[in-house]
This record gives sequence, C-alpha cells and structure tokens, in this order.
Amino acid sequence: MNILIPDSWLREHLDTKATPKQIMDCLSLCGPSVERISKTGNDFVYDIEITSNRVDMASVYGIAREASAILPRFGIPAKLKEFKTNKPQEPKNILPMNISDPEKICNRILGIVMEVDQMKPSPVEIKTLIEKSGVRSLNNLVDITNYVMLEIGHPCHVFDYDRIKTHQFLIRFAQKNEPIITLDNKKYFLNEEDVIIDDTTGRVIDLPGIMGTENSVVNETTRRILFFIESNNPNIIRKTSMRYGIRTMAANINEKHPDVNLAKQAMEYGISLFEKLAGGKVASELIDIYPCKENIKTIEVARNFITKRLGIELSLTEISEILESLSFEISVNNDLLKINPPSFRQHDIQIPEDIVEEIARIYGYHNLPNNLMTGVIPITQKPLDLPLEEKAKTVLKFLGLTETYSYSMLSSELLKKTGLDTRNTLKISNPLTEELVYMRKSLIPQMLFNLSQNQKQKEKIAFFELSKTYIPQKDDLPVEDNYLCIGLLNQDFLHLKGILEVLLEEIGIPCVNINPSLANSFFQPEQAGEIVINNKTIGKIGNISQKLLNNFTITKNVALLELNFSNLVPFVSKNKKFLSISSHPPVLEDLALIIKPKTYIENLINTIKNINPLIKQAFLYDSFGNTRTIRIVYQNQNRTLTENDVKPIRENILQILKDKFGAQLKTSNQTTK
Amino acid sequence: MDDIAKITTSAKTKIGNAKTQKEIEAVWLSYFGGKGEIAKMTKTMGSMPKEKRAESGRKINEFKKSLEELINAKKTALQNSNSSSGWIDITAPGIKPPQGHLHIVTQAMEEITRIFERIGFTRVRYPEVEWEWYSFEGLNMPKNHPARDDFETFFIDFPQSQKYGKVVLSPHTSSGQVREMERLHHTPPIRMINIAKCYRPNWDVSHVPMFHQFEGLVVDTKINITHLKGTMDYFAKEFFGQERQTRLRPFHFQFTEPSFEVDISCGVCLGKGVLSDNSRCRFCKEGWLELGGSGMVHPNVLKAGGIDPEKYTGFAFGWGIERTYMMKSGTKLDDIRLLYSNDLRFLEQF
Repeated sequence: MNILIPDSWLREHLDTKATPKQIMDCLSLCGPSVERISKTGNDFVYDIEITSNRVDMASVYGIAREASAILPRFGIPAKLKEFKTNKPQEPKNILPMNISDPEKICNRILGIVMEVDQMKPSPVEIKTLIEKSGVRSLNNLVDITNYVMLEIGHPCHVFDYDRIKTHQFLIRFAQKNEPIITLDNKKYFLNEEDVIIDDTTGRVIDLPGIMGTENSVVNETTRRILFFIESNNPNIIRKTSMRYGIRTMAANINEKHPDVNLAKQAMEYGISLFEKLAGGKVASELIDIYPCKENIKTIEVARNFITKRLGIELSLTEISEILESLSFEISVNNDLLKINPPSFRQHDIQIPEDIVEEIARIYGYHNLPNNLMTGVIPITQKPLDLPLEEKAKTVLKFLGLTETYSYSMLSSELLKKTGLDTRNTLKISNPLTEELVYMRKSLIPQMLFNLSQNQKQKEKIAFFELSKTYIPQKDDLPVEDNYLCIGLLNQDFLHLKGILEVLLEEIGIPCVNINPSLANSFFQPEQAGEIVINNKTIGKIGNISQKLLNNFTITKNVALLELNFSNLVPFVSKNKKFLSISSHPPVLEDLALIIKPKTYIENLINTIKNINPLIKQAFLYDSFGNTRTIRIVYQNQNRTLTENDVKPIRENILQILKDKFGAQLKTSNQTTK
Repeated sequence: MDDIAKITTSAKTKIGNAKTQKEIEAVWLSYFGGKGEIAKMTKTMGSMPKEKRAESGRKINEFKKSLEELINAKKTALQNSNSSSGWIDITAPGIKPPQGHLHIVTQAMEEITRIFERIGFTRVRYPEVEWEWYSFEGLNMPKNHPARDDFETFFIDFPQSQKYGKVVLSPHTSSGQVREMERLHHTPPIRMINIAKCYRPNWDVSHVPMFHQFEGLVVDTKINITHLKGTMDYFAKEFFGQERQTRLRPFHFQFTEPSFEVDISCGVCLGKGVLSDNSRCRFCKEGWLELGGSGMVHPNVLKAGGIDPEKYTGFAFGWGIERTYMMKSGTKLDDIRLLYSNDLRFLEQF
C-alpha cells in the first residue's frame, strides 16, 4: 500500500535538518521506498510504499520513527520527538455501555462514551493535513478518527451513542445472506465468515475494522458518541474486505495486523482530540477487553550467522547500535545475541534471518561490496530441448519465417472454427474472458487465426510458432510438450516441405519422411501426410482444407505443418561422420521416366537407391506432366566407372521401375564429372 | 593419326565460334565428355599394333593439352568480355532473400540466457500448469496467506491432489525453485536460470494475462548478500550498459529474507530524475527504474527443497522479460498487448 505523508506533519515528530530530497533518498535505500515528492503550497508530500510486513510504518509517526534510525547513518542528525498520551479523566457521570465478544474474535476491544458538541468542520490545520494525506475531510468527529489513524497508524471508529438504542455491542459472525448497509449507503449480503457488530436485537450496526454502517454513524444531531477501537483478526478483515471490494484505508491497515498496544495509545490520543476539538467530555469508564496478551518472542542469533549472510564482518557494538536504533532490546553473551523486538515489530521479526535484514538494511546495502560467487560451477545434466529450440528458431528466421507468440489459452469458438472440440482439454475455472478459457493442445487454431488476421498485409506470409501445448493426464499435471507449427500463406506444399527438410538437417536430423495419409480433418484430401522420423510419427503436414480456409475467411492457399518438437530431441545426432572423398569421378545419369498418375516419387527413388551399392544418390531432377527426371549418381570409391559398369545397373533399374511402378524410360543422358 | 590434325583444325574452328560460356562448355564436353572425341580416340588405340600405341598415346596427350589450353584461354576471354561489356546499376536495391524475424521475447530470452551462462548458470524450464504446492506452500506461502493475493492466480478445473493441492497456472517462475532443488537431488551448488511463461488475471494496456519471467537461483555453502548484489550489477551492466548503476531497496517477499527490489538508473534522464529542459522524467521514478524483486532464499524454501538451511544459503530473483527488455530498448510500448497480438506490422519491426 502507498501512503501520503506531509513533510510538515512528519517534522512535528522528527527533529531534523534533512531536506525532503535527503529524506526521500535515505529512506528509500534503507527503509520504505519514497516513490515521489510533490510540492503542495509551502509543504511537500511524500508518496511512500509500505510493504505488507511493515504496517508499523503506515503513519506519520511510524515514518518519523524509521527516519530517526536511518538519517543518522548518513551523517544527518535526526531525533524522534517524544509522543505521550495520557489516561482519560475520570467521568463525572457514567452512561451505560456493554461490549461483549463471546467467541473472542477480536484481540482487543477499546471503547469510551463521550458527550460532544454538535459536529462542525475541522479547524483548517487539521483539515489541510488530512487532505494532504489523501483523506477527505467530512466533519470534526469523523476527521478526528482519520487524524489519529494517519498520525499514529491505528484505525478507529466513532458511533452515535444514541443511535445504538440498547447500548450493547455483540461481536459475532454474520449469518448467511445477512444484509448490511454501509455508511456509503451500499447494501451487501454477508456470509458466515464475516464479522459484524450487533446491538443485541439482531440489528447490524458495524462491519468492524472495515467500514461503519449507515444506521449508527454520527450526524448533525449527534451529542453523545462511542469512540471505539478494536484489534481484529487480520485474516478475517482481509477476506471480508476483498470479498466485497471494500478497500478502505482502515481495512488495508487492519489486515496487516497493527500493534495491539498501539490500539490503546490511539484510544487515549483520540479522547484528547475529542476533548480539544469537539468539546468532548468523558462519559464512561474506558472499556478495555484484552483477554490474551501476546508474548514477544526472543530471537537468538550468533554473530557468525550474521557475518555469513552479510558477507562482511560487523562488530558487536555496531550490530547493537543498529538494533537499538530500531528499538530492539539486546543482551549479548560472548558472540550470541538475544534480541527482543519492540511490540510493533513482533509479527514481522520472527527468525534470525529477519535480524540479518534489519542489520543489513540499516548498515546500508549500498555500503556492501558487489562480488560474484567464487564456488564451483555446477556441472549438471542440461536440458537438451532448450538449445535445440533456440537453434531451430534461428534457422527458421534465416529461412525467412516470422515468429509469432500466441496465448496458451484460447476460446471454444476458435477451437470450433478449427474443427476441434473442448473434450479432454484443460479449462481455467476462473477465466478472465471467454477468449482465454482452454489450454491449447495444438497451435493450429491460432496459426490460422494469425494468418487470417494478417492476410491483407502481404502477398505471401510465412509464420512459425514454437511453444508449449498442454495434454491432460489422469491425476497428474499435463504433458507440456513443445510443438512447432509453420503456416505459409500463398506458398505451395513443397516449399513448406523444403523448409522442414532444411530445418531438420540443420538441427541434426538428416532423414525425414512424409507418409501419405488421407484421414485428417485439417487438410485437403490427397494433399497431406504424416511427418515420420525413424518410423515414429511426430507430426502432420499438408494444405489446409477449403472448409477451414472458409471458416477463417482466408482467401489464399495455406500450407501448414505441426510437429511435436519435444519428440525430436532423441533423434538429434550432434556428431557428424566424415566420409572419405573419392578421387574417382562419379557418373551422372538423368533418366526421364513416364510414370502413372498419383505415383509417389519418394517410393520410386527409394527403390532405385536400394538397387545397387554403386548408386550413391538418386533424386528428382525435373518434373513435367507425367515425366519425372531422376538424376542418378554412380560412384566407386576405388576406381573410375565405365559404361560397362553402369549399363547393367541401369537396365536393372529400368526393369524394376517398370515392374513395380509401370514407369517407362523416355530418354537417358549421361555425363561424368 | 592423320585424324589428329583434322580434329585439331575442327576443334579450333569450334572454339573460335563459341560466343558464350555455355557454348564453350559444350565444346569441352564434346571432346572431354564420356562419349567425347578423346574417349573415342583412346578406344581406337586398343586396335593399334603395339609399337604404334606409345606414339599415338603421346600425340593424344599433346592434343589434349593444347586443346585444354585453347579452351581455357577462350573461357578467360569470354569472361573478360562479358564483365566489361555492360554497365550495372550498383545503386539499385539488392535482391534480398526472404527475411524472417524472431519475436522480441525470444531475442530477450536468448540475450539473458547468454549473460547468465557466462557466469555458470544453467537454463531450465518447469511446468506452467503447476501444483499450488510448488507455486505457494513450497515458497513459504501457506494457504490463506495474504501474500498469495499479490499473485492473483488462474486455477485449472482439475481434481485436487491430497499432497499438492489445486492445479494453477503458475503466476511466477519462482515455482521452479523447489523443482530445481529436486532435479539436483537436493545437492547444491545450484546456479539456475529459469525462463518461462507466467499467468495472472490482468488484461489492460500495461498488463497481459500471459507474460514471461526469468528466475535466478543460486545455492551454495558461502552465498551472501554481496553475491546477490554482484550478480545483479553484473547483469545490469552486461544487459543495459556499463554506464548504468544499480541499487537495492529493502522490500518484502515471503520466499526471501532479506528481500530487495533492484533498481537501475534511468537511461533516459541518466539517473537525474529531470530532463535537460528541467521537466520531470516520465520514464522513471526520481531517476530510478524498478527492475524487479530479489532476496536471500528463505530457510523454509530451502527446507521445502530438502536442503539444509544451516549448511547452505542462497539468493534468488525473478523478473519480467517484457518489462526488462522494454527498459533496455527504451521502447515504451503504449499498449503492451501488442506483444501478443501477432500483427505482422509489429513483428517485422524486430
């Protein structure tokens, strides 16, 4: 939480010549962060961030106390002025008031009845201070409660004594759906975890620690008040305040467990202010219900423990000085320190590491050296997929593709458009929007969406995404494999396949096959297949079906592949094998073949490769109509081949191709290199 | 062997007639190719009487040599004439191969990884769909602890585990701390850099429900605050530049004690908080930018990872990639949602 502290108010408690800039810089380095200083008239206002463990600093006095420990470390004298409150005077007449908390919900309850003058605006100096602190001035009665909270840090409340007809308070848990109207005239229906105050007739008259109610708040006719402070259970405050979104400053402080002793001080201070500013006269005994007093835990720390964590050695004197400046009590026995934190720090200071923090920050983190670790560099089994991903992304970039990043979650609508459903898909139970509900199992829906969104930008688009998918498992976390999806707009299938082949070769997988498969709902019939490596199917590739293109209103062809990148890892070979380079030239031969329609050329080429060991390579050289020109490379490591060597092999090839594929030779042409 | 004279004459004619590189290549092939003239001549030698063979072989070799010289000379001549023949507009734009782009988050990740690898860190990645236990309890944030509110969390519709609680989308990379201790069999030294996606239910101009963090964790026998400081400073200077300063401010996190915010001096106003025209710098807070949180690992976190906090100490930090990278480039995106909108006009800028 952030608080606003006027400089003039701070100096009422802090005796120092430090400039506001010095206060800002020093506090930020050693204590609370001062995020801004603003000038307001002749005054300055600090905007200070208070961390949730340091509610003791959430007040003018709290900041002054902290500054009095910090500023002297920078050579700037600063002294905390004494702040004392006195017991209230004995009442002249006693008005009845009974407060009960049978379930011991509150740590401490304080209350007093007072007679007051009719409400009026606060004096200008009070009004200005609380408004500079960001609180609206209403009337002197309410302003006093805010003034106390801002100045010393404990929330408090003022009731109209006469509007609580029974003069009885019962603190209890609410019933399910019990209605309450808060003083800002908003109605809430509570549940059994919320705490309320009941006037014992069943009428709800307060949401303690968070906000008062409309039916008990002071008004123009108020002549008698109940000034009331309770030290609450911070968890209950937190939950109720969050549940109904009532984030008052009181709730913000009470949920952080302010010091129970501070409640008493705030009570006494408040009484004196009512006397001074509202003609207040005490009209009851001071009620103080405090059933279980808290014991402060003593923490033992060895000096060596501190040195080991600080990285430098401090003398016992210096350690003691620092801790004493923060109001800690210390006794030293040899090198062992026994430390009692002050009551306002007791919830925050629990373990020896907390003591280290106090010493280190007041000593000044800026006074510690910067060192790099000297120990052994750990040699561990490194994840194999991460560098591979990095490499793949770089290769794809240099092949001209652009990387996308889509959300891991998507909508049921997008799934439906892609022909997928939400069965067996992880679902967020508290989604932010309909758009981000299901954890993706495929990158295809968003790839199509991205291509569709960008199709007007460019003639041709090449996108890729390499990211996690989430496949649900029974009774366990999902499998989070990385998938690679590539989508090419207005480019053909073989272009995509070429990208895949180069990519795999670059990352150390030289051999990939595409197995024709017909059953795939994403793709055009007869234009798709499975991506297979060493007989393992790792993905799919093809031209997106016209139906999906229509669903996404994409007007050009999309060639797309998706593969399980995590499954590639075991196939990667890092080591390259050297094959000796033959000094005997190869014979190159181009066979132009007339083939039957729908012949898969890969089968044909693989057949050729397996015919004779002298066939070193065979690949598709040219393609036109029904003619496929296959270039065959014959080579012998030990001697130069002659026509006599090649001829029988060629004849064998042609025979086999004729038998197996019905392919006919059109022409052949041979050269040596 | 009269043939040789004839062949030589016709070869000279052919070479003389060749006008392009392609034509001279064809001439070469007609003589030196597998079915070329020289191959034929060599073949006829087989039918010659022995005493003539040597003589004939010598002549063929001479022919080969002179022919090769002639062809090479012609090739060179053609090359020279071709390149000097035309004017090229060397100011015309080059023909570019297609240019791809890595997403800026990928670029930032790679850069950050390299920086930490140089000082012995290993990059890892842990589940994004994670048990509550690793995201909270293991990090010293018991159930109902208000600190959990700071990490408003997405929950997954999934049966609760007795041991690990509900399934969440990890709101921070800190969930990887205990996982890393487990991966290394509870045995330091540990130097981890964990980069992963994180999720929190916020979506506006400065928040996206999915973002990335990088988390450092160091655990060893003699780790103290000066090492945290040194590492932060090393990173800041490597990543942002040698002229930048860092500072630690006290802060509070459940999983570290002591805890710090790390600030870096502003690159726009150079740490002054005001610009040269004396106006307030709007990029920073009084000359400093918040990089992110860090701290000495809380003993309860070490215990959760099966490491003895009496023997070992450590430090950790977890920062947003997007935020850190924006700070570096000074690119102040007016709407951070652009990062994940996949608009080509945005992607192609990086």
